[in-house]
Amino acid sequence: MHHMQDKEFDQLFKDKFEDAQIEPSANLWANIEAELAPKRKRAFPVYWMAAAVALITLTAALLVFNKEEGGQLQGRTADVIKPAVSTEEKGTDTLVDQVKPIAQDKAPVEEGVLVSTSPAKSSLVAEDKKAAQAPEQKSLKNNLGGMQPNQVIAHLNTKEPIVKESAAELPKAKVDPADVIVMASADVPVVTGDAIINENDVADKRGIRNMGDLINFVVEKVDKREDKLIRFDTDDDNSSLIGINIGMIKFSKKKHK
Amino acid sequence: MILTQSYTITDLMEGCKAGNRKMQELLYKQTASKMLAVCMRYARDRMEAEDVLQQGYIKVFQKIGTYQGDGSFEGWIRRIMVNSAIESYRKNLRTLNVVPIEDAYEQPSQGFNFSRLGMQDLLGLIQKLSDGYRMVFNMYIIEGYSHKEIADTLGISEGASKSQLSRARAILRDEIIKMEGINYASHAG
Repeated sequence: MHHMQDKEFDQLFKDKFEDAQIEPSANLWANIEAELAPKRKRAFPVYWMAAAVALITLTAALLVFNKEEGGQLQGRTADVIKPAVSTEEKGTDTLVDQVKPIAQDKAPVEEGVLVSTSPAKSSLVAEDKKAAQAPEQKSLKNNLGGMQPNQVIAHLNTKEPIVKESAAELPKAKVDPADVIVMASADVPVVTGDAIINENDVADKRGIRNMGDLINFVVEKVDKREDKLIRFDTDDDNSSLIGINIGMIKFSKKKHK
Repeated sequence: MILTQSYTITDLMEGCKAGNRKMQELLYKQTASKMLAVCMRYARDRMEAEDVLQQGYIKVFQKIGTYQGDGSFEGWIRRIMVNSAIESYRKNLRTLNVVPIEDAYEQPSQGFNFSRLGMQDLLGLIQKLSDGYRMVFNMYIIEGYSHKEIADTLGISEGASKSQLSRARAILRDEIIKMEGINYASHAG
């Protein structure tokens, strides 16, 4: 009875496979070569391309809409200023710049006169103030909104009375009190403007707590319009979309007054 | 297999280290049929084996820089092929086909005539083994791994490795005897 030992059995297998050769399929090298070839065909992978396209589109959109908004603002503020300037004839910025230093120089010297002239001036200033505030309010009603438009208008208005004064009283150089007071009056709309802005920006004051806040913050910095490109309600913790404004397409949950 | 005589395997190795595509192709052409024979033992069929072979050569060309010249270069490539086969086995670890014990009966007392059986016949028998048995059989008997190494590599116990090996042996003996019987019958007839 011959019982083949395991070792013997194993060795027989080993020998059989020692120099075994099986020819691979003809196309196998081509497959290996293809896999070895560096994949340089796409320098930029698809998702990078997609990201780039999205970024460019967004940037372009923001630029276009910001420009549109800016153009409108300039047009309207120019209209607001126009009557004041036309009545006083010379309303150029260079004139204002020239006047200002002179007025400041004279300020200490004219102290006595300042008191005497002030009633007359104050009425003038009051008028100026109205003039300054009227367009301001008009522009607010026009719902230009946002913080920048308000500020721009305020600055322009401060110049406007100066121009008037300088045109009227340049020879006497008694501009300074008016100048000072007008500056003060000009500050008023600025303050109200700030108040409005603060109302709008309560969310920012709370800091950035979630994704919605972050997006709101970024959009706030980029998009100065009242209806932001995109806005999230972040009062609850899961931010919900409350406003979208892509030019013609507007969506807003919040009812504006 | 026609190979340009002017290159030794060392030349090919150096060329492959430099990333020379022509040298890579020559190395492949010189070694692929031997390596496919290795892969075939571990795979169920030719398609799976060629897949393992392809992945193995990719690894060979990627890792050739790490070959330090210890041991034969062909042995190094062969080890990569075996590892590639093990990796493939573990990746698609199929449900282990447990062969019912009664399938492998006690072998009759006569010896076999191995000379009558070709390598292809034995390969066919190995490929018919269930995946786990085939892995252990190849790794222990042909490649010379220890049961400890097999246990660590396949994530089984040493005892499981040993029992699977003896089961594999029993099944192969059984199958060979059947074959011998057919051969004998055909010769007799």
